[in-house]
Amino acid sequence: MSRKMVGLLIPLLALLLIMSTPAFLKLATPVRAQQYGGTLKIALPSEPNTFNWFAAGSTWSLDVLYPSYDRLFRWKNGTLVPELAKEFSVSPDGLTYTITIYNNVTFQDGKPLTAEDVAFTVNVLAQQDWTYYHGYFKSVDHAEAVDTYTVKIFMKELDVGFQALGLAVMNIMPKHIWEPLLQEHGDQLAVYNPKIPDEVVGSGPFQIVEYVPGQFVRYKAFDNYWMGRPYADELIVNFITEASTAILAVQKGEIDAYVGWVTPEVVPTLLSTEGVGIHIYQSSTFYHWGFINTRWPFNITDFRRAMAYCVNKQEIVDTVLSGWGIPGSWGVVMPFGPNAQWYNPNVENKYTFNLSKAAEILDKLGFKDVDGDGWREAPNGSDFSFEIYPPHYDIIRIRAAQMISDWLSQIPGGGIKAIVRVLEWKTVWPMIKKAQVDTYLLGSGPGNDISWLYRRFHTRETGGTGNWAHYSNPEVDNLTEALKTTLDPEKRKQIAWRIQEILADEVPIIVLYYRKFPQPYRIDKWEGWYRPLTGGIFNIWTLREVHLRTTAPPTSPTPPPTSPTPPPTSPSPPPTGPSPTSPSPTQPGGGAANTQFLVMLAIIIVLVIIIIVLLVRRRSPV
Amino acid sequence: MTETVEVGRKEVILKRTRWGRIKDSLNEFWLVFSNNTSALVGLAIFSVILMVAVFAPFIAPYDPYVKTGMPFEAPSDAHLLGTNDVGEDILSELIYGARISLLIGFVAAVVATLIGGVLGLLSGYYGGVVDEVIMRFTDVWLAFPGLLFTIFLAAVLVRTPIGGRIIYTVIIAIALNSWSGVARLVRSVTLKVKEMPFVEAARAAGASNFKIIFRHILPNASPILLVSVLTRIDSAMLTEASLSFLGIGDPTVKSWGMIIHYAMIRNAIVTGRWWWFIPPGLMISITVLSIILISIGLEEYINPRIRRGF
Amino acid sequence: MRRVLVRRAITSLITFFIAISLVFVISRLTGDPLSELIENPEVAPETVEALRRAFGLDKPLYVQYINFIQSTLVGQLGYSINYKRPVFDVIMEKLPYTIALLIPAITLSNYFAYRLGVESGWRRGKKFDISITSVSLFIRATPHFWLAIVLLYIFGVWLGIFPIFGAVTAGAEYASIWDWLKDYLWHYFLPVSVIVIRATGAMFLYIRNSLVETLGEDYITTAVAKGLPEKIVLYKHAARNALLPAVTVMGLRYAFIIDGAVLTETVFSYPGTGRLVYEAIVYRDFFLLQGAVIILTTSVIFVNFIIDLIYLYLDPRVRYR
Repeated sequence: MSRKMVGLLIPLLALLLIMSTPAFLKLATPVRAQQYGGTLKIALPSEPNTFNWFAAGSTWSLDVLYPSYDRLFRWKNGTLVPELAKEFSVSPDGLTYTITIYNNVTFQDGKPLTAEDVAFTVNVLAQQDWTYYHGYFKSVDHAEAVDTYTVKIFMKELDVGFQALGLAVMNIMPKHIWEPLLQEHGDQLAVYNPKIPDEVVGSGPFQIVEYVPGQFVRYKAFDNYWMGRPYADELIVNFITEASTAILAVQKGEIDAYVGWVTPEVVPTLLSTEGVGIHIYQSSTFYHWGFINTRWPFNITDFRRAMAYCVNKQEIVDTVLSGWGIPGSWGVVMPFGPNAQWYNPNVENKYTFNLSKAAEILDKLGFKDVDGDGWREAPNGSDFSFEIYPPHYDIIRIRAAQMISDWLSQIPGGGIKAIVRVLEWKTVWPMIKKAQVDTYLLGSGPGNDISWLYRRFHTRETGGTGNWAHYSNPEVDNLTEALKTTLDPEKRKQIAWRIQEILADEVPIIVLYYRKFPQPYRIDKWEGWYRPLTGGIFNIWTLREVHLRTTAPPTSPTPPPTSPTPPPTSPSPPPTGPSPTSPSPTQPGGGAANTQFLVMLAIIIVLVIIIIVLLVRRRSPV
Repeated sequence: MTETVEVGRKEVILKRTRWGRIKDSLNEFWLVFSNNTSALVGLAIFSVILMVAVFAPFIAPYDPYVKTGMPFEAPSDAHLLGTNDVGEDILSELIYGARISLLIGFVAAVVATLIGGVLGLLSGYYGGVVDEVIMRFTDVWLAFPGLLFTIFLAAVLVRTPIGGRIIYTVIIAIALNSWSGVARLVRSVTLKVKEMPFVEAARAAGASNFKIIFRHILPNASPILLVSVLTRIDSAMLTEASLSFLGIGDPTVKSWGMIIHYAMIRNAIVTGRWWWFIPPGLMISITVLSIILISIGLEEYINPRIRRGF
Repeated sequence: MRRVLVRRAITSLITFFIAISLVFVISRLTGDPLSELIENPEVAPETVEALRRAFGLDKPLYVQYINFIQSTLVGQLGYSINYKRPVFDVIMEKLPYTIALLIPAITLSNYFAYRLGVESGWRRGKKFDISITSVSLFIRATPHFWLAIVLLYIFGVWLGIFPIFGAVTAGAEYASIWDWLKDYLWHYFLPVSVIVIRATGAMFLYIRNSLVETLGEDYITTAVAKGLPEKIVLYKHAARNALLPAVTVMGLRYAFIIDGAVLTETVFSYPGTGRLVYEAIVYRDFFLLQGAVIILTTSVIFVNFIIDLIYLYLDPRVRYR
């Protein structure tokens, strides 16, 4: 088995390297025509917890450290591209990686970055089990520097994902700073916060020079950055708790980009704001309605099929996401991004929203409204209901759950009672793992290689490790295993197609939508933003390339890269609303909103005055 | 002046039957209360809101749980306050919200008053070690103030049997956070009443502790309990709104605070949809204001020294 | 007097221990601080176990408790699970902002409440009293965060005269300390106004009613009958006594500042301990929570002591006993 996997690995890697070389060469010897200068201001929703990258766990910590460090490889828009790695090879048995790095890389404190640093970082991650990414380096035995610029990594066992996962997330840490710290603190390095700026030193384009807790991190451009100094003189990362405030700050021009989660309804407002552009990227996270497939009645395939007929994915996308999303595929695999090559279009219209069909199936299963209360009872005649658990922090999923519950209640011949129950997610998670809930709404990330299906649907992964739906099907087990060992791309595609057919047929989970996330940024001040289709605007390429605008700013905001679906095409007409001629749901313009707001304010003031006058006119005390 | 009133009431309490007693104090109460314009204004506003809450299904133009328009509609004739993020009528949400907000406030206030009342009675009546223990505990409780402690309590309650719905944990957390003030008040009243002649008389006649507490002390403490229920409704409503704003509330419950929360999350402030977050805020203000006004009137009745103050 | 103080010290100590023990026990009922990592597919189970060891969460509860009491006694607050660094550092990063925000705000609001309350109570039933009282009632009835949002919208967005986030302009270079101060105060204005308005509204009525009550006392009537000037009767006799019951409430607000102003901080993205403690609860960061409670109870005890001293000054009955 291992031979096969290595065999798969090598051609893949070779292909990757060849594909990315031209792009890479262009980056390595850039033409620096633009002007230097300016302070780039980015906002994040939360402050970092620690500046110790080894221990940093939260997304925001990692984001804050991101501009300061370099990596060997990086995912760029769905492909793995080499960065510091000049040459890369794997031994035939897949147990030894040899990496040669560029020789013109220096750390921000002037010391050169050598193979010693790479080896040190790998060894710390492999040996210190408290490090955040230790899981990716578990199979590493040790790494050693062969010469100044060549490092060899020896594996204990074969690990196919090591390069794509481990090496692609590994920031190269300076040995001359961290080795003494490691010796001094040992295990307690896990709770050590390095001093700024002396100990937070990387080789990335920006160097952290100041941290004001709760407010911002200030970076300055690293003059000797090995790919050439970034154009912006300074980078400031602000922390703004409320998304609304951050968006307003972008509108006012106080910050240049906001990289938190933005709900889609602000897009029209932002597009009408002069100087603001919107980067919309397709997230590959699949938000799904998951069933615990071992619980009655969700262990009945037909029951799950009936549920599938009750979900109007397009309506969810149109209503809750204001059109900024793609309805989920019945075969789970998404039709875009790296996974598009394995997508099976045949399962696209497996189920269409059809409540009477659902009623038919439910009738056949014995779920009938026997006591005439408008709700269907279980086949044994007892009251029947189940619960949908969306996470408490995601309003979009709560709304989606409410819509599903609504549709279920409308099934002709008696509805199915589905109760939307919101609990703090920390308490729901263990219940999902132990199969103590009926259904849940979850967002899961796919992998960049189709073998991720193994993790989500193989029996062995049930519960804790990734198969939250507790789904078990011997054929899917075999097929997902085969995905991990088969080399032939055509054959892999066939397997993937077959899996999608089964998943669409048996509906262990229903993928509701893939979200598009908008990120507002200033286009009048800066240009050169790198806008990947499937990633955010705060990325290393933006940091390297973004520069003060030299050309006239575009009069109309640039259209988003992925052509967004226009606003809701035709949601069902309001059932009781009397006036279909009511104003179209256009944005209230800024001016109009302000006048209305003023009116409202006047009303409040008048109210207060009335109350005061009323009280003043009371009978005078005796 | 204080003395005469109390003496007068004591005689009344001793002579009349229970119903007579209640009628009498109601009369006295209305005499004081109706003399207070602000309390009357408060009562009027509160009655209107209560009416709206009770008759919500008849007043509301739509069912707020059903999609009746496009998402994010601006105010129009069909939807006077526009629609929310899933096309539900905001005006109807507001009207039904009166029910939920008042209910949350009321339940939390009653629970808080019950806990505080019982502990205060016990501590005041028995004194000694019981008093010492309860008061120490109350002190500690008072040392954890405010919103954050409520959030902390909610986090604890999630893992108890009432954790089945966030709204229950929120209500109980609010109640648990605000009983300590009641306990102190009730304790001081109990201490005062305990020394009065009619309690002595009852004890001499061989009445049990239980009977004394419920027949003699509780009726005298009841005005305090009533006021504390009222004053805690308003703080409970404000706390619930704040919790909702922070994202701790129950997103499936359409209280006024939760409407503001949804408006904030869906960036009503950026898109200028003031009709989504201004009205619920105003409703909270007005309701809480009316309750405060009423409770001022009640306080005057209980504490005659500040009568004619306002 | 000394006996009172000794007794006070002992009860304070007991309160302190009950408080920190309570938080130790209760916080451990709220769940597992590492559960977030367990769910995270990027994190290996070994890592979670290693962190559990590093924070001492693998030990039996009583051992954890003994360790906690021991380290508290030597002034060690432990390490924050979420921030992965010493609790003391994490709190101290934010505490200055909170102190700078809340001490002036509380002082100002106490002062305003005192002046307005006394003046209003003196002229009870007059227009001045009624208008001030109505406004304060309205403020008291308004949700704190909502007021903040409306102010942010009017002054920050619509009029655009105040910044909408942060405590200073990020990354600004200052020519002098005055420039910095100007920038700081500019950011400071809205959050501090919200807190002052709100706190004054809440405190005002208390003092006013207390004064009205005092004005009914015999010695005030005597003082007026003696022909003393109004101002003297009001401020020397009435206000002083009216302040007595309010001192505790006013004083304790200083003790509670670690509680911060989580809503104001959230709306204005202002740094402070309120948000910090809030997140400690949400993330189940036991050690940070314990640290915050230790600081809280210590300051409550300290402030109570100060309040006693103030009583000594204000209330002659205590002084001469």
